[in-house]
Amino acid sequence: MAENCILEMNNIWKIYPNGVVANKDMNLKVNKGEIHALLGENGAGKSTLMKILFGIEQPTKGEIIYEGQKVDISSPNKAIEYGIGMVHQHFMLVPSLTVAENIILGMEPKKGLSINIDEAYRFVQEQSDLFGLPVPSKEKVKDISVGMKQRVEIIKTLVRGANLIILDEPTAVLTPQETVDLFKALKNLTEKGKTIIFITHKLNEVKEIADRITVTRRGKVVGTADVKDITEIEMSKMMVGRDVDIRIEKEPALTGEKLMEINDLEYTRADGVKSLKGLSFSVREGEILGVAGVEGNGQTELVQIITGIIPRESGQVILNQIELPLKTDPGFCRNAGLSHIPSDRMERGVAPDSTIAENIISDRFKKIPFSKKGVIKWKQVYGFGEDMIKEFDIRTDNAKTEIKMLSGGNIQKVVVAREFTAHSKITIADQPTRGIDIAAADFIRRRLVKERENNLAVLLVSADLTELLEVADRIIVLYKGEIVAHFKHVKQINETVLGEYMLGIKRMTSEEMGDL
Amino acid sequence: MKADKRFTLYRIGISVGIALLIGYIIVFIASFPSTDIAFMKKMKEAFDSANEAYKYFLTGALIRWRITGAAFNQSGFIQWINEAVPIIITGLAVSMVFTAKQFNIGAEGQMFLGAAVATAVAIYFPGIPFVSTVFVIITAMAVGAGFASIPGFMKAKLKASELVTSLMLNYVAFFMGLFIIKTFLRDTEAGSLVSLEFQQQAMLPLLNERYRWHIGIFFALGMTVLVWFIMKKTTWGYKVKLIGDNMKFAEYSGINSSKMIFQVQVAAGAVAGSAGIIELLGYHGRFLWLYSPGYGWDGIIIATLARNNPLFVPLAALFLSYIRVGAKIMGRYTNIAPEIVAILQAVIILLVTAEAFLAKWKQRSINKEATQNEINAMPVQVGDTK
Repeated sequence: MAENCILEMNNIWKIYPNGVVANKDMNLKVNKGEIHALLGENGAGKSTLMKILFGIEQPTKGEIIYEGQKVDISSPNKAIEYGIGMVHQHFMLVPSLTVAENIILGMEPKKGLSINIDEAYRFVQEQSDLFGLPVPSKEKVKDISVGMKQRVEIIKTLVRGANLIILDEPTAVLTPQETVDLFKALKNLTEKGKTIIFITHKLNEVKEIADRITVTRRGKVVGTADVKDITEIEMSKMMVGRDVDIRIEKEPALTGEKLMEINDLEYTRADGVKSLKGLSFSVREGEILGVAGVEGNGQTELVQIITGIIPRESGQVILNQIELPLKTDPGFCRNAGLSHIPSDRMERGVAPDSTIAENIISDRFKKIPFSKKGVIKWKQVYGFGEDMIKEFDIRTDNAKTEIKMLSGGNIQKVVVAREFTAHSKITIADQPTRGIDIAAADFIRRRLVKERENNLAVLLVSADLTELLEVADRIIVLYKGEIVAHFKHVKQINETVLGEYMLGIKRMTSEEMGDL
Repeated sequence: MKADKRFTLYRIGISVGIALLIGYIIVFIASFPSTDIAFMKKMKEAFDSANEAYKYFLTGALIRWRITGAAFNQSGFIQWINEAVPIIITGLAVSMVFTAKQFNIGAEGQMFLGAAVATAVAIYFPGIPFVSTVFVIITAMAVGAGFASIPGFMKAKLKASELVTSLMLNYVAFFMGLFIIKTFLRDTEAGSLVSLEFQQQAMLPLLNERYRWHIGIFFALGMTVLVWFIMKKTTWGYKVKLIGDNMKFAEYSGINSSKMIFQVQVAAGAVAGSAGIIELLGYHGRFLWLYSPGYGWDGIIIATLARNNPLFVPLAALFLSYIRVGAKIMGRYTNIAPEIVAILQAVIILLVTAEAFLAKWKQRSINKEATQNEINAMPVQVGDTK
């Protein structure tokens, strides 16, 4: 066993400058030629551990033994030298270059001073045949699908001599069909002697692909096991530390009048791509409308137009019987009765150097009791902040804590605390549970269902198909800026069905879709 | 976290200490005698004169050293307080725009042009006690605000970098100010380029006639309280803080960010506009600057030292004017040039703003605190592994 071991990470500690302890004495052993799953909730420290292995972060304490030698991985370049490669969740590719150009970037075959482009294509072809990963080497990266981009990333690490490949939540961005392809490719690679570390929080995937797993929780390693010896239920217990029941019970939707209406919405991005092509649909009171789709098929633009962040090109957005002006103004949308949980909480959802309470009142500080005649009543503000901490179970000392000191899940709770207490009739939830722990995600999903039971309208945009199927009453699928499917009865479909529409393999006629 | 705030304090203290030490070494080298005597004797002489120079530098503003003993230095004290007045005001102005992360560095021009235009009012407005003074100051503030509205408008509407526009406009303000004084307000009787004298009734009341201790310090402290109240207690100040913290978040929350960007620059311009005229009204009694006095630039140093907190601005300004007065006194009694203070300022600013300075030490204390918390916290239950 010992000689079979390619990597050992011993007693790794990582403390970030803001005092967050991401890794507490973590140990990891990976055998040569296996697929090793690193399982844990978001915030369990698995990504940090891998960043340390790839030289992006330096450990506070601990040692790394790679191929029998103690190594000091001070940078990603060093890691690549050792033969460690990493495929990030967000792809590091140049969209305007071709696939082959991306792969050879930094190691170009030369002909005099210029790049020998024919040699590059030949080389990429040869490598992709060798590893059984076909790629369209002459196409531009911006024109290929997400699954293909990921494959390009994998080849990139392979041609740089990687023997150990780290994949950071590779399936998060893939449709079920693409996932199947990826798994085939990974199995193929291990047969060629490569070792793979697979970061994930999806149990079914672990069961399907991994040989062994290491489970992490709250910055610690809970245990390592052979996958064949352990059931999914046992894994989830190890991961969460208790039994979880994530099924949400809800009554069939009782819908009323239309609270949000979108008519013929069009939008063209700055790069000339028409990302919304005449979208029309409505959301009624008492229902949750889910929006499915592979990322980049118009969801971002749709949400940003409805919330007044970017201007629409043409068409109508009617919120609560009030039509949005063409000029962008998020304040107008809020006044029309809209709440918005943004997809990227750090970009738009919070002010990191301000306190929890300051963040929660950002949309209502002008109202009594938070201020009178332009003077802020800090006592009321902080009192309210404390109430919100209790109601939304935000784990912190008090409402005076700065946002940047909180974990991702707690930051998201601050965002939802504000948005769910704004007394709006419509809530736009854009990836509301992305990157947060199971308990917080469950809490937020239940709140969304509660909104609907209070006769409010919810538009839920999510890349998490399980979440959509669980929470939404109806689902529409976006593909290249158009609605290609509409499911009125969510209980009757599954992820694979959604996947086919998301990939553009299938498409409903307008009769099949019915009344949107 | 506590460690964070404590660390900021340490860093400022240590930066000041290092700056003083570097200053001492420079003074020591400058005092090294060139006469032909034994090396050890040279060392001793250099030590003695460096110590002497530093005695004046560090205490001169408060203590008058006589052969008979030490006494309170009234003139030094008053000079210290008077010199702090304009830079407290510019420090407040800069801290306002910096809170909004608007790098408007036009305080110098706003201050200069405000003083030049208000000079006309101070000369020609009928002399009514109090009323004249207030009117002169309001004029200066209005000019400062108006001038600041140019980069403010260009940023808010055209997205032109306020850093560039406000910097360039400082030159415009400077030459416009000189033009006004030269062409309309010049005292032809005087030997140099100065304005006519202000009306006596427009001048600020004095607390001490001999050394001209004027009440400007109370104006500056009053301004401090006002700015503190606006920035920390009003919805307007809250909005300014939010656009500085995360502009996209502020917009998402429904705050009109262009409007706030414009308003905060204009408001800070009004504050900065009053900085120069206060000194003229209190001390000089006429406009006499041929060069821009640099209070706007000092304001940047002070706002940085005070971490944009209005309540710390007077402390930072008093510190700066203390070492400046001390340096001048040192220059009077020894042959060390008072300009050495510029080196000290540079070192302090460099170290205080250098994020990585002492970061290792900070990380170590954070590690300790975090590890301690871990030990105290409940251990994670380790599940069954097979």
